[in-house]
Amino acid sequence: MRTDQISLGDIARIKRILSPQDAATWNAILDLVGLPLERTVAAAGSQAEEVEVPREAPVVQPLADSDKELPDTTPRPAPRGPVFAPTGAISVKHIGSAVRRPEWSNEGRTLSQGDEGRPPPRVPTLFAPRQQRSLITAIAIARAETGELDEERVVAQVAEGEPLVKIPRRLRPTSHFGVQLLVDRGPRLEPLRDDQRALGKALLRTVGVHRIQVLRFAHFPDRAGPGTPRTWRRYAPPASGTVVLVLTDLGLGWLGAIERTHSFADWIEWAARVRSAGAHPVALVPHGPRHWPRDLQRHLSLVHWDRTTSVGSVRGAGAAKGARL
Amino acid sequence: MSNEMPAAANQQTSTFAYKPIFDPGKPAQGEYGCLGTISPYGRPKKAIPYVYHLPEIALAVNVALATRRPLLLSGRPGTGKSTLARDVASCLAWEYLEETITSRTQANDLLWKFDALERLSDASTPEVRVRKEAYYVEPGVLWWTFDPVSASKASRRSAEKKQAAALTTIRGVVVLLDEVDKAEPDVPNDLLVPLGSGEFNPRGHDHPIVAQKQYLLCITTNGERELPQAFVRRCVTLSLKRPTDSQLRNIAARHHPSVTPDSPLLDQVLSTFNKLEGEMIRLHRRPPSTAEFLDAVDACLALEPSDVAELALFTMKKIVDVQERDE
Repeated sequence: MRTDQISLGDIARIKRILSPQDAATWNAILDLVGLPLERTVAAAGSQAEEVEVPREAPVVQPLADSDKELPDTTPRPAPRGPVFAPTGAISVKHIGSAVRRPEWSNEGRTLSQGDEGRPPPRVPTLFAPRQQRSLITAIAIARAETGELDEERVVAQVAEGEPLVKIPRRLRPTSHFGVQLLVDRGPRLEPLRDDQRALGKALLRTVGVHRIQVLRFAHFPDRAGPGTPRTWRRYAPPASGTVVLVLTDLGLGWLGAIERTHSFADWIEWAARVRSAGAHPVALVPHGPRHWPRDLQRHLSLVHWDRTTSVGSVRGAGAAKGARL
Repeated sequence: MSNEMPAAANQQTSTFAYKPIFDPGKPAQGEYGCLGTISPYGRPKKAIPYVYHLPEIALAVNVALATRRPLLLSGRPGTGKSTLARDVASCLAWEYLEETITSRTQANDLLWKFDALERLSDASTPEVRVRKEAYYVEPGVLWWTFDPVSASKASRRSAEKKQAAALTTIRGVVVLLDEVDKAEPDVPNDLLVPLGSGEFNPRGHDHPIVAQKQYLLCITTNGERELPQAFVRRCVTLSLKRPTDSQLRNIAARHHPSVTPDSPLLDQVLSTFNKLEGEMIRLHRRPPSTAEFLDAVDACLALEPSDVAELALFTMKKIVDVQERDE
C-alpha cells in the first residue's frame, strides 16, 4: 500500500480497474480521494466579479516587534496615536469582542455604509496555520516514563548491585495526562480574544475533548474558573503530569491606568507551586523574549506566541517538561 | 446468520456505474478465517450483518482497493465504521485482523514489540540460555498483515507454527485499526513510512518484512481529535451518515431475520428513536445512533415488554446518560 499523496496516478489506476462509466461516479470518486473538482473559468470569473474590492483598503499597521522582523516589510509610516503596548512587542490585530471596547478604538475611521454588510477581514492567527498543529503538539505534550524499557539504566542499576524496585522506562511524549488551559480574560489581552478562541479550538482538536480543561482568569492565575469571574475560586494545580498552558502577557503589556497587579516574583512562586504538584507550567506570551525576565524563565517555560515561533524553539523552552512518574 | 440481504437494503449499492472489485451483493466463494486461530489479532470467521445503506460505502471500499490506500472511516459512534471492515473481509473471503488503538499505542507496536523484560530475565537466570535478539520480537498486527507466514515463524507461540502451512493459501487480509484518534497525535504520521514503502525492519532481523499479500487497511476515527492533514491526504476518506428510517428498518431486519421491515415493533422503536433524536439535538447532546437503535430492537425482542416504546427509550437513554457524565 502506498501512502504518498493522492495523485493523477491514482486516478489512472481507478479508471483502469474500476472503469467508472458516468459523471456521477467520477464525482463521487474524486470526492472520496479528496481531489477538488476544477471550476470552470467562466464560473470562477463570474464569482470574481462579484467580489467588491475597495480601492483604498484601510491599512492596519502593526507596531514593530524589535525582537524579530515582521514578514510584511512594506515601508509605511507607523500611525500616530496612543501607544498600546509600552514594550512595543504586541501587535494590534483585531478587536474580537464587542463586550469591552477600549476608548482609543473610538478614534478610528468611521465605517462607510458599504462596509457595514461586509464580513470582517480575515486576520491571520498568531501561529502560522500550517505549523499550528505541530506547535500545539510540541507545547501541549509532556514526556513521561511510559516508553520502552530503559536498558541502560537497568544495566547501570544491576551493575551497581541495586535492586530493581521500579522498572525504568524511557521518556515518551504523551498527552495522556491532559492539558489545563488558563486563559487571561483581562483587558490587556482584549486584542487577542480571537487568537485565544482559535488556540483553544485548535488545542481541543489536537489533544482531544476528554483531555482538556479550560479555565479563565484575569491578570494573574491566583483565582480561576470555567465560568464568569464571580464563580472563580482559588487556583489549585491539576494532577501530576498535566501540562498547564497559560495564555498571558505576564503583565508586560500594561495599559494606561490598568497597571500590573503582580510582580514576576509572584509568577515564579505560582510556577513553583504548579511544578511542586507535578504539573508542567508553560506560558504563551505575545511579547518577545527580549522582555522576559531570566529568573522567570528558569521556573516557567515561556513560548513566544508569534508567527516566527518554530517547533524547535518550543521544544527548547519546554525541555524541562519531562516527568519521571 | 443468514447472508441474504433484503432487496431494499441492497438497492443503494448500484447507484454508481463502475466495474467493482468488491461487490457486497456477490460475496466471493472460498475458504478463509485461518488467521482467526493463529494470529493474536485475528478474529473468528463470523460476519456481522451489514447493510450498505449509502452507495458511497461500496464505492469507497473499491476505490481504496484500486488505489491501495488506507480507507479512513469517520462518523459518530455506532454508525457501523468497525463492522464494515469485517463484512468486507467476509465478502472478499479474505482474512480479518483488528487492533483497537489506545492512548498508549505507539506506531511501532503495530509493527512489532520487543520483550525486553523477558530478555533481561533470561540474561539474569543462569539456567536459561540467552537467545538471539530476534527471539524476543513479537510480530504486530501490520506484520501479520504484510506477511502472515513470516509472522507465524517469528512468533513464539508454538501453536501458530504448526498451522503455518495454512497461511500460504491466504488471498488477502482486511485489517482494522480501530479508533486511531485515541492515539497520540504523532502516531498516524509515524505510520506513513511503513505504509508508504510497504515494508519495515524489525529489530534483530536481517531482512525487511515486505508486503506479500493483498490487503485493505481500514482505519476508524470518532473525530475526538483531528488527524494530521498529511495523513488524511493519503487516505480514501468516507464519512458514514445516519441511515434513513427505511434504511434503519432494513438494518434491523438484516440483524433479525424474524422481523420484517414493516413490523409494528419496528414502528414503535423507530418512533421512540426519532423522538429521542429530536430531543437530544435540541439539548445539543449526541443523538442515539444505529447501534443504540439495534440495542433497543434486541431488548424488545428478547424481553417482549408490554410497552415497547418505554423499554426502547430506557435502552437508548441509558447510553445517553453515560455520555452526560463524560461531558
